[in-house]
Order: sequence, then C-alpha cells, then structure tokens
Amino acid sequence: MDDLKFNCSRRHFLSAASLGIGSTALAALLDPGLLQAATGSAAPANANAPLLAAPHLVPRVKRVIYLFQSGGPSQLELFDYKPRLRAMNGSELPESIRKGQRLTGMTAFQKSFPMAGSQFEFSRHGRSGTYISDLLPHTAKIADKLCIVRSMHTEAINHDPAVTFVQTGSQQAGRPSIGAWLSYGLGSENHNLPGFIVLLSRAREGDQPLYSWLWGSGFLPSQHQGVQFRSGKDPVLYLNDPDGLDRANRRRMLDTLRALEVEQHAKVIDPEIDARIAQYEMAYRMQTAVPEAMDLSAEPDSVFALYGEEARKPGTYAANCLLARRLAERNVRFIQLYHQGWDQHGNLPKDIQIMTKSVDQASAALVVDLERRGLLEDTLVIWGGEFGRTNYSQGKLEKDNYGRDHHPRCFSIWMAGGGVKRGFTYGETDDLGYNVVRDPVHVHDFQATLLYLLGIDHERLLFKHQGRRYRLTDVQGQVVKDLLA
Amino acid sequence: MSGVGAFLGRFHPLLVHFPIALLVLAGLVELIAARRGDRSPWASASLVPVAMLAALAAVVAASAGYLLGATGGYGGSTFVLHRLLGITVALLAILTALVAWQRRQAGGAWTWMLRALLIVTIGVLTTAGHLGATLTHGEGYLTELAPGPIRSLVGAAAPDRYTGPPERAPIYRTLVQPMLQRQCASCHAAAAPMGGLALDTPEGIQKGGDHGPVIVPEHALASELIRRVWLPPGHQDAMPPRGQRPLAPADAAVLRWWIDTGASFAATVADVEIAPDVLPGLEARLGPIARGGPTVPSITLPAVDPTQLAAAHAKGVDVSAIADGSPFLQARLDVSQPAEAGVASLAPLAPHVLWLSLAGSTVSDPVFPAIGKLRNLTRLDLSRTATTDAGLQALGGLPQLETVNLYGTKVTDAGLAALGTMPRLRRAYLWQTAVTPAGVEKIKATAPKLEIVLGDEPDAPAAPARP
Repeated sequence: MDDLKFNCSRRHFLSAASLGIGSTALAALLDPGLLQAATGSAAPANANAPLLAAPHLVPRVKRVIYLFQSGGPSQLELFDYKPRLRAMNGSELPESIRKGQRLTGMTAFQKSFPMAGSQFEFSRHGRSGTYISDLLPHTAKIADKLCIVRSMHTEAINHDPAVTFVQTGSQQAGRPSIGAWLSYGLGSENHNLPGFIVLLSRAREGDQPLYSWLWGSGFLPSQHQGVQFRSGKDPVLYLNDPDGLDRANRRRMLDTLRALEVEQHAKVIDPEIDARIAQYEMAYRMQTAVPEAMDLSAEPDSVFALYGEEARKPGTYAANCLLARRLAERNVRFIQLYHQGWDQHGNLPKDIQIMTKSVDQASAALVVDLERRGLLEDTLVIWGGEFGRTNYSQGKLEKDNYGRDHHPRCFSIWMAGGGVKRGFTYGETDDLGYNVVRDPVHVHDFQATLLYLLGIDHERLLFKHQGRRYRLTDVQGQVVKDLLA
Repeated sequence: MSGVGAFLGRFHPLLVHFPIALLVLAGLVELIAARRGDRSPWASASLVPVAMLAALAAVVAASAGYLLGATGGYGGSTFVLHRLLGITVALLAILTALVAWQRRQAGGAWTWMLRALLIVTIGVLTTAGHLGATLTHGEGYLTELAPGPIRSLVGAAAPDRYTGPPERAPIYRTLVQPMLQRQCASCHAAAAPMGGLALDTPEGIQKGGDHGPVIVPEHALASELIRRVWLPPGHQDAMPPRGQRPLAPADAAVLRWWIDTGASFAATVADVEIAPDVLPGLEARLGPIARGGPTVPSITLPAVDPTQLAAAHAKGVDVSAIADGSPFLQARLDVSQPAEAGVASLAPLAPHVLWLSLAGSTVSDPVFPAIGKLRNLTRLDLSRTATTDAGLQALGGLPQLETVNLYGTKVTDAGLAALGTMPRLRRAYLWQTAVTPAGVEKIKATAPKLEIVLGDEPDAPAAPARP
C-alpha cells in the first residue's frame, strides 16, 4: 500500500508541489511563463485554475450572451433587404448566380428555382438608417446599438453540422464548444456559479433537435462543459438535497467526506481527489446560488413590461433572456441560449411571424436592460443562427406562401455591446441575396473576433489531444477588426 | 557651375582614394624606415617618390572636390569643414613632399619634422575622409550598427526604439523620422542639406528646400516630397535618386498617411484615423493596434508586489492583471465582504488599479477618499450601492476615469457636478437614481462629451422611413 505514495506522475508531483487556486493565479501573475509552459500540453496543475492567469490582450468584454437562433433564420425576411429580389419574384434563379452551388437533398431535384422576394416590408431605423424588417419592431428601435453582419458564411449545409461548426469550430461533433474553451482559458468569475450556462427554449414544435455536445467540453477537462439550467423546480438536476436531508446535515456530510478525502489524499497523491472536493463544494454553493439567480419573483412589473409578459412563463425565450441578464449580473462568463423553430422550408410567411414574435421584444429588451445597468459596457450580445436561407422558394412559389431551403453562402447576425461598433452594418450580398460580394465573414473569423473581444488570441488558446494541438478556429480565422469599436 | 567643371567634379569620389592610399603608404614606409633603419635602405629611398605622388593626387582630388562642391546642392557645416580640411590635406601633402625631399638632401633634424608632418597630415586626412563619408552616407552611418559598448565609447546615442503600446506610438518619431533618416538624410541632413533641404529635423521638413516647401499638411498629393517619392525610380526627379534603393511601398504609404493626417510632429497613432492601406505596415512594425479598445495608460510601473495582491485577496477583493504581462489590475469586491477593508487593501496597489467594481457592496461615504486615491482608475462600478452625492464629491475628481456606473444609487442632480469636473469621463450610468433630465441638461453644458445613461426605454418608433 505504501508503494502508492510513490505512484506519482510528473503531473501529480507538480500539482502536489504547487498551490491553491488563489496562489496559482498569484504565481502566474509573478511569472506568467509558469503557466505559459503548460499551454497546450496538459491541463493546468490545479483542476479549477484557468489556463490563463490573465487574457492575452486587454479584454473589451468580460462576458458573452449568445442568443442562438437554431434552425437558420431567413436573412431575407429579417436583415438583408433585397428590393431587386422582390422585383424579380418568380423569375428563375440564374445559373450565373448559383454557380453550381450544392443544394440539400430537399431541393436538389427541384426542376425550377423560382426566386422569392420577402413578403415583409423593410424600413430604415435610427440615426444609422439601418434596414430592418417590419417583423422586428422592437429590434428596430435599438438599431443604433446594433452591429449587423450581413456577410456571414459557413461551410455546412445541414443543421447538425452547421450548428456544431458555429459552436465548436468543426462540423463533426466532439470538439469543445466556445463556452467550454472560455471556461478552460479564463475560468469562472463567480465562485458560486459555473462559467458556462445553457438555457433552451422553442417557439414551434417539431423543429430541429439540439444535442448536448453543442455545449460539451470535448477533450477539455469535463468541468468546463456547459451546465444546462432547466425551467421549473430543478434548474440543475440532482442539485437539491433529497427530501428529509437539511442543509446543515449536508454540510456535516461534506465536512466528513472532506476529512476522509484529505486522509486518502495523504496516502494517494491524486489530483482527482482535489477536483472532486472542489466540485462537491461548488455544488453546495450552487444550492443557494442557483435558486437565487433563477428566482424572478423579485423582478418588478416594469421588467416584464420591457421583456414582455411571456417572460413570466418559465422556459420561454423571453424568460431565458431575463435570466441571461440576471446571470450576467452575477458575472457568468458565457450564457448560451438556444431558441428552436427557425427551420422554415415551407409556410415561411406564417411561421417566421411566430418566431419573430417570440424573440423580437425580449432580444431588444435584453440589450436595453443591460445598457441601463451599465452591463453592456463589458458584455457582448450575439443574435444569429447557423446558416441562412435560399433566395429561391423550396417547393411551389405561391402568391402568399413559400419556403426557403438551407443556404450556407450568406446569412446575417447582429451583435451589441462592448467592443463592437454601434449602429453599424458590415458586409454586403449581391442584389439577389445569394452570394457575399463584400467583406465576407467566415464562421472561423467570427469565432476569432469573439475570442479577441474577450482578450484571447485565438491562435494561442490551444489544447493538445491525441498528438496534435487543437483550437476553436482550427487552422483558420482572422479577427474582423472593422467590427471593433 | 556647369560643363567641364561639373563633369570633372564628379570624379572627386573616385580620385579621393588615391591620396588617401598614398599618404597612408608614405606613413607606413617612414614607419619601417624608423624601425629598421639601415637594414631596409629601400624604405627611406622610396619615401620621396611616394610623397610626391601623394601630393599630386591630393591636389587633383581636392581640386575635383572643390569643383563638385561648387556645382551646388551642398551646404551646411559638415560640407564647409570637409572642404576646408580637404584643401588642408592637399597643402600638407605638398609640404610633406618638400620636407621629404629636403631630408634626402640634408638629413638630420628634418627627419623629426617629416614624421610630425606625416602624423598631422594623416590625422587631418582621416577627419576629412570621415566628413566626406558622412556627406555621402549620412550622419551616424559608421556607428549605426556598432555593438553597444563601442557605441557608448564614441558617445553615439542608443537606437531609439519605441516599445510602448502601439496606439500611443508617436507617428513622426517612431515611423516617419527613422524612415527619412534611413532613406533621405544621407543627402538631406541639416549638417549638409543638399538642395537646401534637411529632412532630419522637424524644422527642416517644415522649411522645405531651395525650391520651396516640400510638404503641404493634409494634402499629400500636393506635396513635393510625395511627388518625388512616387515618381518611377528611373525618372530624373525621382527620390531617392537613380541607383539608390527606392522607398518601400509600405514606407511611402506611411509617409503619405502622415502628411494626409496633418503632418503633425506630436500626434500618436491613436490621434488620427488609420487608413486601411497603412494598417498592415503599422502593425508589422508596432504590433497589433488596438483600435478603440480599453484605455491603458502609457506609463511604466514596477511589478506588482505579490504579498499585496495576497492581502487584497484576503479582504475579498478579486484582483488580477487586465492582460498577460500588464502591470495594470482589475479588481472586484466580493459583495459579502466589507467595502472599507477591501478598498483599503488596494491602497498599496493604487497606481496599478485600472478597473474597480464595488457593485452591490456595502460602500459608504467614508470609503470614497480611499477610492479617490486610485488615480489611474478608468472604470468604476458603484452600482446598487449607497453611494451619495457627498461620496462622489469626496472622490476628488479622478483624472483618468472614463466610465462610472452609478445606477441604483442615491446620487442626485447635485452629485452630477462632481462628475462634470472629471476631465476624461465619457459615460455615466444613472438609471434608478434621483437624477432628473433637467439635471442632465445642465451638466451637458459644462461637460459636453459626457454621455449620461438614464435608462429610458427607447422612444416609440417614429414613423419609420420607407425606402
């Protein structure tokens, strides 16, 4: 049994010889090289210490709220105003525009590709004169706070690979998601809450599913994966004490467990024991922190007037936006919302109204609410999906009905908050809304820019796994400096 | 002068090498004669012809040099001294030849006179040669690449390399001046301004040359300097002249950008708009340029004392560097900890603290003088605290503060006055306070750049403009 004492790898030795959470950060401050040496080779010595003691660059934002619109919202009905497409409604999509672009199995065998203009009006808003669809009246009101990118493009053409690509930088599942990379690189700012929290909602049934790998940690240590907060009684499953066990009892149990583990640790120098103690303690702190953060009862009526009455209903997008603000106030680093229902292959004119109605007011309210609390200064809000939708109709183009297929060549997103320009529109698509003609922004460029805003050089946040170093942006990505304020 | 004289003058750089070699040879021959005496009789015998040839070469070279100097384009103290010493060398060389001749006839005391003359001549020759080379290659050419110890020995200034944040880099000093020095100052220096133009000093650049000003601030395309630099390399007027390395496109772009943005000798990168075509070049030389990013003071600070960091941590203040390798800190107080002790623990770190959040804490009036001592604060978050007008006044006008969050505090219109005195304050959040729109209007008059966020909901959409 005593042999176990010497069963001590280099990493074990380093972790035993090094320091607590605070002093690790301290040591890194004194000698950043200490942690730099660990970059990309292995997990840091202490399981809970972030990889970087400080960001590579002076950060412009400290936290991100990503309002992910799952399914692929149609840019042509929302942000990318194309009067020429409307004028040519019903004409055949010219091959000179399509240029052999691959199509999904859903429209590849279509004999005709009738172009479909938006059936919804656009107006100019704010001092910036930004074109925004009349479907988004609340978003239009904050036009001067938005940084709209109309030239996003991606590589994937189907939902699962496309969402996975945006969230992890790879079309195949298994890589860490953006939030996990941030948790790994920068750690959590709130000792009582995870640094990466996920909230889900949907406005229409039967849309594309989501998978937990989208907020997974991939090959990163597993404490960095996103923690999904559910609506209802138990926001985090298995967090609450079982019936009949009170908090004092739980404390005694944890203390005893800790004593046992300290004893065990003296015999077997295993960092996993430290990690487990830390996780137990985090869960214990979360038992009070999570209900407090998720409790909307103290929010005044004026807040529900701002976000919409729907925010009173747990599990809605509006309620999640309000929760996102509460979590941002508590310094949670990465708050990821997913809102399902944007996959409109048919019945688009009707279904898109259901979707815009469910997101418009709350999305705008979140930006307004963050701003008046001073939080927009160092928070970035992102609104966008995984790809765009085609400029031609999937199926028959009718007078008041059409559908749109998946379109990776262009889509629109908006951002608001610290570090990005306000009242600014970037990039341009052609008159028919099919190809990007100016300032394209690839998904990896977007990811590189996102990390840059948080003070991370995307080429230096690495993790070595199975013999090679990985990063969020794989081998690509350029920071889009023109978006920076 | 023109014609034959000017033509012959241009042989000066060629001819000048003959007297140099011959005079040094004369010195060597005499050295051997002195050391070996009668054992090397050829040495004393050959001195007279060598010295006579040297005198002839020196006169020819000096004459050519005089003609070259007279063709115009040269001026300044270096040139005048070079001309004087060049003629002196020629005269000394003649004298040396005469004395050598005399010694062969008479011997004796002439030997010492000859040797003294040789030493003086070679000394003056060296100086004149160096000055000539300075005219051709520019001031500091010799020591430019010398190792540190040698540089300090000859008193040459250390190369002036800018190491601060790229945004704060003075454009003229770090980008324009080194380029002009490297590319232009060999001919156009204050010491020897060819064509009357000196490009190594701000005064010289502003004054221009014999034909008038060379820069028109804000109008690069109307500037003679840009016209000359942009001409095709073979053109008669192109600068640098034919055969010399033209300006790199990135350098030319920087030069144009500098003039277009006002040709200021003090402006920094952050002061002017960065044209897209110069950005890659700027970043290649200065490193990534953060545009509009958080302000970081361009002061140097000693490293942070870790025991003081630990002391702040112990008081519930989460302190960390704002970025890797930066001496500046961000600090956030744990809301469950007393504000007074927390802020007090930052006192030893005062110059380092850039961002401070006391949001939701127990901060009260007595704490504010201590916050006011954090002179480099650019962001201060006091939201959801009991901050009062008196507290704000006790801050005493933080000179660097840019953003202050006072939402959910007891601040009233009276407290705004204290904010108005902060010279760099750009944004104040005052939602859910007693501050009134009228108070905001009043402070706008004294602090026009200060944006006050009262948190009103956006106006009902005015009749949107239809496309």
